[in-house]
Amino acid sequence: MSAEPESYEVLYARLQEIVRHLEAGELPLAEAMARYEEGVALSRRCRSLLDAAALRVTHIANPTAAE
Amino acid sequence: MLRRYTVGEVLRHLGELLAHDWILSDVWIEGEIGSVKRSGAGHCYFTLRQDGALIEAVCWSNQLARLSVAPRDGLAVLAHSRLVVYEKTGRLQCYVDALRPLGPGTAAALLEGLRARLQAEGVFDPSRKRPLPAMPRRIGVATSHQGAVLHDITAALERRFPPAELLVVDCLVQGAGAPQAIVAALQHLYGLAPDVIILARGGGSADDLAAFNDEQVVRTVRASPVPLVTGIGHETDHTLADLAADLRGATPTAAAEHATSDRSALLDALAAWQRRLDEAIDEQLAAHATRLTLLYECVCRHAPAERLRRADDALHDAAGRLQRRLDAHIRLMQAQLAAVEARLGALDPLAVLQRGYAVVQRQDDGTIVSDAAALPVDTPITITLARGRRAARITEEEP
Repeated sequence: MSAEPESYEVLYARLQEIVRHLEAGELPLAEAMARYEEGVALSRRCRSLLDAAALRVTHIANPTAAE
Repeated sequence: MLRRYTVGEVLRHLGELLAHDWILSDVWIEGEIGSVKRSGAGHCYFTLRQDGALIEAVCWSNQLARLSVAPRDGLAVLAHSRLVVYEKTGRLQCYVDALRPLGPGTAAALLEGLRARLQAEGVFDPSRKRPLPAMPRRIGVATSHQGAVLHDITAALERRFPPAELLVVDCLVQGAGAPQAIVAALQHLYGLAPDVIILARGGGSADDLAAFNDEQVVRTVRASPVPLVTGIGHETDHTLADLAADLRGATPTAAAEHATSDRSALLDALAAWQRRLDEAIDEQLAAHATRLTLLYECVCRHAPAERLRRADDALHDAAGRLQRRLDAHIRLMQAQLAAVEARLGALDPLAVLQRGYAVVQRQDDGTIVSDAAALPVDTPITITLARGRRAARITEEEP
């Protein structure tokens, strides 16, 4: 289970952080625009995680079943 | 040649033996009632157990109302019965027509004892319960592949949160091997480290749910390294595993719902943050625009044309100030002049005449006389008064 995909919670929390930062007070224009673009990208990634393909079901044999 | 018997013949023969056996046709059986079920026709099916032995029992609907106590799970009884063989299944059954309660059953007492012991250990302590993750991506499920439970869970997840991955470990959920299978399934899931685990089983009698009251199962549930939610039986069923879990779902479907966020709610929340993001950048841009306007106005103030205009204004102001100063000076001079004129007025001889004095002049040379010696008798004089003059002649030297 390596290369854990980025978690929705982490992306979502980062989006919230960016919005709060932008709301807190005036930033230099370049920084504000960079933050905004990052926020848009995060919200797209969040959305794509929610839009991901159908439920994947993996069946695993019970280790005691062989007995 | 051996005599052959059909299955039916064998069972009917056995039935005959039972019906004529003086014990088995009229017997008080001591045992604990379990697995109580009512059929649509109103008959009551249950089991009688004692010390690991079990017999199936039926109380027909017409007998049921006459019982002194209604059959219920965990009740220890003496059951008046006759034994029969049910031909369709070949099973031994006892037809019960009377019940005498013997106090709480041993299984119920044992269960209560275990509950109390685990409670005292803090296994059910509410402070040990963890919140379920807001959006689990990998969900472990321990349940039986048979029956509707797995379908109920996948249906709930597909409805609420399709992006999830489900790791399903099959396990027996009733019978003697169930506790061991459940423990193994959970421990296998613990090794896979999902975000949350669902332990589920469909509805059943108290006997069917017994595995979820097994001490080892309960302890394994409590030891879960990730939040674990149970969905065992129906709303009214409470097992010790439910108490030990981080959260109890009333049914497998409810457990699946607890274990996941609602996708549409997540989308709504995300959309709200997107709106806030847009509003925030609008605010930022508006603030910059305002500052730009202020700067522009500042630049304008320093433009050459503006400076000329302001110099012109200053010149106007100076000229005005000068004019006002000049006017004030003139007014002062006029006032001083008026004062001098007033003083001159005080010296005017005419003004003295106004007070009744007269001026005497010699007519011959016009000199003004102030000494009487200059006026001998017969000298012609002119007397000037405040208003008009008169000619006169001196008549006497002394009046």
